[in-house]
Amino acid sequence: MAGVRHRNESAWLLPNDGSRTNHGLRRDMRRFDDADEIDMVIVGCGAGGSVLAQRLARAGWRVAALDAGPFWDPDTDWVSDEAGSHGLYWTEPRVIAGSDPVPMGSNNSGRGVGGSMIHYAGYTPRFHPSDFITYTVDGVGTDWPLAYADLRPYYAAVEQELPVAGEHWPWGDPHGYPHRPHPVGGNGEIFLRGARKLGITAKVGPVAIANGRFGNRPHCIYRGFCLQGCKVNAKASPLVTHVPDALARGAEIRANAMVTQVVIDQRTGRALGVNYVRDGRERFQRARMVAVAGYSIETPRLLLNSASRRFPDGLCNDFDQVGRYLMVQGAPQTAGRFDAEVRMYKAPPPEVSSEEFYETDPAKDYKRGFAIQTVSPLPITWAEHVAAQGHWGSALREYMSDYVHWSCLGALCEFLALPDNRVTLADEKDSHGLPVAQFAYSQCDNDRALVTAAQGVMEDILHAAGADEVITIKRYAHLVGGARMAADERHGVVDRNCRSFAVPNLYITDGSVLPTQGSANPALTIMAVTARAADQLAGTA
Amino acid sequence: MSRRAAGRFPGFNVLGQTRDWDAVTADLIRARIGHSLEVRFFTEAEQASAAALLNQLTGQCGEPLGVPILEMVDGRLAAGETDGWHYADMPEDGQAWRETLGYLDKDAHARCGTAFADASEGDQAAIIQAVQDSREWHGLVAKHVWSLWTRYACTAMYSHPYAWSEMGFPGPAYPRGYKNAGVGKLEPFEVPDRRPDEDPVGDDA
Repeated sequence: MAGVRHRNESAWLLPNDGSRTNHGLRRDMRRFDDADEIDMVIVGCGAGGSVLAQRLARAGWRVAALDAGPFWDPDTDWVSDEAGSHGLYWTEPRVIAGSDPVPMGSNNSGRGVGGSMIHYAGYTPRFHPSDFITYTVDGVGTDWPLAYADLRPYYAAVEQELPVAGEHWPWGDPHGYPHRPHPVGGNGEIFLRGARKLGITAKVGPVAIANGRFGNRPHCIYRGFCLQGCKVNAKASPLVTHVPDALARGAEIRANAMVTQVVIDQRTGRALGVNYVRDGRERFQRARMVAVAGYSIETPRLLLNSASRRFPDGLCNDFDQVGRYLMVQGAPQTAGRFDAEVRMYKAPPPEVSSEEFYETDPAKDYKRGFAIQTVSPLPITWAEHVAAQGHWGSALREYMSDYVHWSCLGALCEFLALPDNRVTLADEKDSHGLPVAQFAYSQCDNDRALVTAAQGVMEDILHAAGADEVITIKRYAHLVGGARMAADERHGVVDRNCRSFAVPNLYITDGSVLPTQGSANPALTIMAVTARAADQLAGTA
Repeated sequence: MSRRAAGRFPGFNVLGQTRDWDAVTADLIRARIGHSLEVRFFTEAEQASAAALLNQLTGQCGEPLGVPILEMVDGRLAAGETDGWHYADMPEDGQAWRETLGYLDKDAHARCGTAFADASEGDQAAIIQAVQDSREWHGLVAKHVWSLWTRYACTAMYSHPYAWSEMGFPGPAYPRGYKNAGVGKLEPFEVPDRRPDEDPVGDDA
């Protein structure tokens, strides 16, 4: 791992005394003045924004990353508790609509430095090569202006930085992982047992949780609260994987700074910087370049809220592309009941996955596919699963008392990118007086067919493992798209290097640029796409 | 029915393990036990119907578990601690709670001539069941109303250590972690289910 430390020293910049935050590094952080024309101001400090800040700071750029939320300290800000983790989610108001409205908040929206990766499970699969050419191979979705081969070296680099643990991966572009697979708990054991009986290949991983000490990050303690923020520093998030190195290389992370507008020079059409609110004061940060990394809801919302004379319908929206082709994955969860005690809470929820059904099966009447993974809901999320069966009152309470006997799998179904699944501005305003996002979502027939198929496979696996009963909740996971990359400005918002077509010094470096989503959890791909864009920007490619 | 929810994990009491929790988490959980009884969001009339509804939804009518569910939901609404979204066809959460509690009273008056809180437990249950069985309810999409109620009710109920003890879940796990994961394996501080064959699903079938 000497090579990783040479490129990214984050894990070695954290304390090794049992506390989780290097307070000195934050205290001594470089601080720019609003009037300084810095090289790059980044909006949002999650998977995309943090990687960009770290890469550009390494290249000697003067960089500040502004985040609307706090600069977390895992010791004092986070708890080993579901309800108490409410502050990790973006809970500013949003309106959901369409025939299949998608709940936000804890489901898919992060807040603060580290972004949604603070509360993601930790799965970090790569996309398959086919994901970049779904239109060519399957006649659905669209082709990326990038090929898998363009991202391959960045996938490998980021996998080392997180680092990712797992078995040798046989699907997509077969590859290994820097850390060995973790031992599995009851839920992983059930999945592996059922899959083996059916002849379905399932593998342990790929999980961005160090297996063993990594720098000063300690070993995982298997406490099962990955979705509540890792108090151990074992699970990877930008807060521990990229922000420390960015700070040490002179980047500024400006927390509690809500960006309200990207400001455009109406004469030249170039970005001048961003307006933001901090401590109740409106401020303006000047910059030579701007990168928006607010994820699939807030990035389009910021562009739409940045309308001006030059861009009357919203920034970068001359061709009505902003906010469109937003995707979620269909994520049905199927649980099985065993007389033995599974106690699925006793391990990280991300343990085992299968990508056996990821690619289009010519024998089926739907295109593309799904992945299956262990998910291990804690009591509140489990209550949602049980309540979805219609149970309430004493029946609900009785089911809940049976918790230790259940095993739970989740699927990620590749819902297709559709133009009317989009973010627009609602009439409702937030506390800054800005219109909030309205997110409309409606499934197509292919989407519904995938959910049905995935549920069937999960039921089969659980039955094969010995479950006497199975119950399913239909839900959604992840967000990507909304400001997608494309070959030209009539089909997307940014080019293959994440540069916006409309404003030459404006970049978008987050999940919103992804044109398709595969059946993979998106964090690793967001980081890889950003790392590549940073190389292009810094001339280090 | 709920008689069988209780007593599956004899002697298991999550609150006996607080010394193994980190201080920040322990303070948070302890605060749920000594929950302030001051209601800040609901009016007095709303408070009575909200308590009845929440106790019904979480199965605490016949056999109270002692979870102060009304106060917990009220605290969230008073603090504006929403889930970060609402359906386009529903008002924001606080307003939606007020309106739907009013409709419950309306239904109760129509059914038995009393406020919802004063109706018999059977009448209350029938009124609630009718919402779950409807497509539309007082001009609202019934399943969106159901989602609002059950989300707040379940989040409160299953964030409480009394509920964790009833389900055998040890609660906070930092810095202790787990050392003995796997099917059929227990930590020294876990208690096995004394009625493992009582499958609630099988019962319904």
